[in-house]
Amino acid sequence: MASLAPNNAVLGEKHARHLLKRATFNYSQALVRSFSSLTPAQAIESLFQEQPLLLARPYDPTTKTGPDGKNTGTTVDGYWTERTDVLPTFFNDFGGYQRKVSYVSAWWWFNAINTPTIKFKLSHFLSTRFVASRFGDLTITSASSFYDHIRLLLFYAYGNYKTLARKMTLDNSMLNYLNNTNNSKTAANENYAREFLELFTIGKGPQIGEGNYTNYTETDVVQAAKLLTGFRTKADRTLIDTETGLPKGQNVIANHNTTAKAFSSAFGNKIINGATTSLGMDTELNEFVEMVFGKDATALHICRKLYRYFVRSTISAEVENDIIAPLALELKDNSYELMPTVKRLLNSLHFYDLDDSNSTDEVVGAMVKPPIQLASEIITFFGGAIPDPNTLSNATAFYQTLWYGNLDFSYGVLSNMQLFSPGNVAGHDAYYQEPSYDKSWISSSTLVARYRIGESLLEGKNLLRSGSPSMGVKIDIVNAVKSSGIVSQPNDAVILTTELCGALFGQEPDLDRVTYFKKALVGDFTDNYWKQEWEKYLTNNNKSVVEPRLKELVKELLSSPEFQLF
Amino acid sequence: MKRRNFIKLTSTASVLSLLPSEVFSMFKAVNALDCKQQLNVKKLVLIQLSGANDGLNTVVPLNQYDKYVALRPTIRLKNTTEPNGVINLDTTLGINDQIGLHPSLTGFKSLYDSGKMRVIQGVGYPTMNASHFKSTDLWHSGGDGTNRNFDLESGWLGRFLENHYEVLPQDKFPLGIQLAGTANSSIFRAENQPHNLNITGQDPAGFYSVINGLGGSPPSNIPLSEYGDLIRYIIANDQQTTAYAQAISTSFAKGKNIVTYPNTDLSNQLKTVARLISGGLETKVYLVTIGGWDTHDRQVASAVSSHTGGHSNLLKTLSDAVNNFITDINDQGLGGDVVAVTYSEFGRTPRENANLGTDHGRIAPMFVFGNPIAPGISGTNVNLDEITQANGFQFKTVQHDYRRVFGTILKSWLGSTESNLDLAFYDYTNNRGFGNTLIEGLIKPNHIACDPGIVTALQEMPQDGIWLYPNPTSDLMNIVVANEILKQVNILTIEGKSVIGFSNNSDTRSFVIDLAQVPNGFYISQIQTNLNQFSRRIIVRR
Repeated sequence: MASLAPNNAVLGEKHARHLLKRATFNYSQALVRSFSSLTPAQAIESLFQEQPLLLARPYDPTTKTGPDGKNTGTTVDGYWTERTDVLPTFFNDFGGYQRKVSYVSAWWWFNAINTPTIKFKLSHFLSTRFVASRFGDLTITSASSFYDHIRLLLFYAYGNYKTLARKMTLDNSMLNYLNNTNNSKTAANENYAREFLELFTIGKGPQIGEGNYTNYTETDVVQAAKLLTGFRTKADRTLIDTETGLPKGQNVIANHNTTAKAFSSAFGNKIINGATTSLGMDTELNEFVEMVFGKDATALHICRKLYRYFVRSTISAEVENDIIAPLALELKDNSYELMPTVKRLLNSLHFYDLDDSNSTDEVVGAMVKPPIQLASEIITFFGGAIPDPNTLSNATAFYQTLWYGNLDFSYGVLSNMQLFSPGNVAGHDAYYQEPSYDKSWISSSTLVARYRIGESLLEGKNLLRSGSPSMGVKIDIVNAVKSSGIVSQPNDAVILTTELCGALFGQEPDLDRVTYFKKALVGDFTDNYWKQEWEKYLTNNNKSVVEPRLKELVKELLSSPEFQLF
Repeated sequence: MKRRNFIKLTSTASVLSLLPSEVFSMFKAVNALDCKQQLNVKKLVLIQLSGANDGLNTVVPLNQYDKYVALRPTIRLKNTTEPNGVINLDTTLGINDQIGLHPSLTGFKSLYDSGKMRVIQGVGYPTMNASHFKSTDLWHSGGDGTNRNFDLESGWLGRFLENHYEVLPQDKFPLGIQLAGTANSSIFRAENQPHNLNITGQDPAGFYSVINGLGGSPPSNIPLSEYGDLIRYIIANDQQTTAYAQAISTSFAKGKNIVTYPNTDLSNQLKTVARLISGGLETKVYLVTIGGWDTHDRQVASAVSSHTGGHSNLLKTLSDAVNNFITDINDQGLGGDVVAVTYSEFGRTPRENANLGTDHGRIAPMFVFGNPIAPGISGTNVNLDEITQANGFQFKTVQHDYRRVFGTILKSWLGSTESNLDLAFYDYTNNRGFGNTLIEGLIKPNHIACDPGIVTALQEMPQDGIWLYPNPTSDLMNIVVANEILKQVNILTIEGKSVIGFSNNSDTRSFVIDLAQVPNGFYISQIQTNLNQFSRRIIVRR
């Protein structure tokens, strides 16, 4: 039976790796080592610490043309998100909306791979729940409000899902993305109302009649759309939410449908009276949110999503009963505070696959890595020297070269995961498309990117682009093996290969497989040959022999099917 | 037993009393090999309009123009006589059948005029679902919106491809190719063996050199577990990609385009398709996609300039791309081999919203293109009188089930057998296959697939003289052996686990088994006769 009972055993290396891969984007050997001697509860406590952002805000080093259209020669308005006078024409004047939203995601990612907490996984999880693609309508969205949107997800990563659902309704990016800012009392635009119910909160149950999805009906979509009228963007970002300190949209009572909204029997035929003041609109919205979150189905839907994000895609009847149901009960009882529920899940015997004797339904290693996980793991595990954007002279190298040109618009596009920009409002296929789920990351079109990103990072050249331009980061593989402690005995070809497989693969390989990979290192020579060459290198510091051999080995490991899983 | 199965039973009954060699001589007149070769060159191009196309501003019912204006006072397209008005597709039609094409669709108009386009009016499915994702899933899986087939895991095209085409080990081309959307489309998802490839974002010319050998050697010992299943899944994708990539790169290098396409994403996809077909690639079905049709706001630029704006741009992109594609294919002398068809998950509300847009609706027209297509309009103009409060201000009548449209293409164009068609789609509302409700006259007579009935009989009468029908079945299945006495039938799962067994206590050659209690899925039937044991794959589907 699947069990939420706590795992009280010290993690050890295997489970430390599992927890770190699933809960962070920061997979360093130092963390693996320190987590290995902790119990899950201790490790999880440390994962939930609040840490300051290493990179405080995004910077755009690219714009050099001033408002007068002349090239100033220096960066203009680099910290553009600080401006409060955002006009609809602002980004057009200065150019580069597409670039700026990319730089916002770069800012998020830099913090994600440098912060050993679960905050970034959780904020990413929330981005898969409340999708507002950064490539919304370019003529109405601002890169600054997208920045606010990401900060809202970070703000509630350790917080309350229900409150976030309410705040999201007034998020400028979301108001634009699902057109709710245009939802009018004379003719409702039901886009946001529909997705709020179908995707963000309660989810669909079986269709049991025309327009009846068990948990809600088409009537509820229509009523919700009416209720959600009058919430409009505030493009100048001058209206600040007192709880989050973030810019938000505005309540415009003149555009609000003030009639009573009558919901279907799915919500007990509840009637919510229409507000007649802009302040009252908050109360009315709150009543609607409480109504939706008062249903068990909402908590169950969220817990299934948590499970599929953190544990695995298959939800058996057993898991539904033993894991999802009790978690949902707890989530609802805690008024939708995420932290206790996520802690309980990651602390459970089930998360470490210790709750049954069935060896075929693994948790450890049984998910396909999202592309951003794949790249982040390689970089953090091998200590790729990312140019630190806190030093402004590095800004171009980080934002433009490494992120925009390579990880985002090359690897991201080809692997089907540009951060925060799925193709539609349901999110990336991996997070909703039955029955494939995480398998959706794998296709003949994405395999090339997944298999070549490792080699690109090892060579410092982007092999996914024609002409293989500079990647913006190059892993020093010899130094990583020698000094970062990722391998206990680098001079031993078997230990070296075995330990790298253990660290990088979803599950430990058998001896045959280790031997296969080891061949990439030693070729047709003996293991002793490698020992001699490594020791020679340690003496004379000449890496001309060991570097190509190590690259070959690691390239093979990173382009194997096993590395695709975590 | 379903009525259709009875008919089938009686029509084959006379065959059953004959020896296999006699059956063969019955069909001697038909050269089955020729038919197979004819069918083999036929191709289908699916054009997905993702986001739900506004059918009512694509095809305006001119006979109800005033009602149309009342529903859409702001976003209405101008009438045929006004500047920038809709294009009257065919003034020779009866006054009640005339339609106004969106003014951006000049390419469609010229295809129609040259006898290469059919409009199918009012397409949907019995219980329409207003979610983009669920409705797309239904269109792809072959569902009708009811619980009967709400969560089919495979796609109708995937099922059709794996059942209809015989794939030989030496065939190194994918049966289906997807050109947009980096995740694999659910329409290609197969029950057993997928035969499709996704080449989104890849350079077809250099595809093989990039992919070949990239993943190294796969592990030889893979655990029998979920982890192992994922490893096998990745390896299968890798190997299949490598196997297919060479044919794609070769055909791409060999093929050509002889018209100049506009530089849009959709045109580039169709340009690649034309070039692969021109280069001799044997792939049967291509999927191209154009997104952005979810026009909740500003689908027209303004009331005054309602012929411009987001929807207009999309339709122009579509119309130009398709027109160039069909012209390219025809001018290269390949026009007889290719049919293209558009689809979208649903239409949009007949009433406009307040944002110069429209919300999620129900039915919408489909367009079918190509030299093999008989031009015209199937069905009648949509009825705007249906847009009442009682109908939720939505269209009520579904004139054409989308499965009828695809079913007609599968059968009349690609030559599907009845049973393979039933595997793709089954009409549970009326308990019959779509082979009985083909859209009349969609394919020009000289392009209709050679008689699949004959091929069916040959295919369903294998060398070892065993008939199982209907297959798939929802409950009863007839099992007939040619010259032996049937003793026992055991049904096993694909993994070989026993499910149910039947003993035939009378010494007969035929036997009816009842699979009503067996869950949907693929099974192996083990058939024991007085002389032999046979194994056959059967499918239970409801």
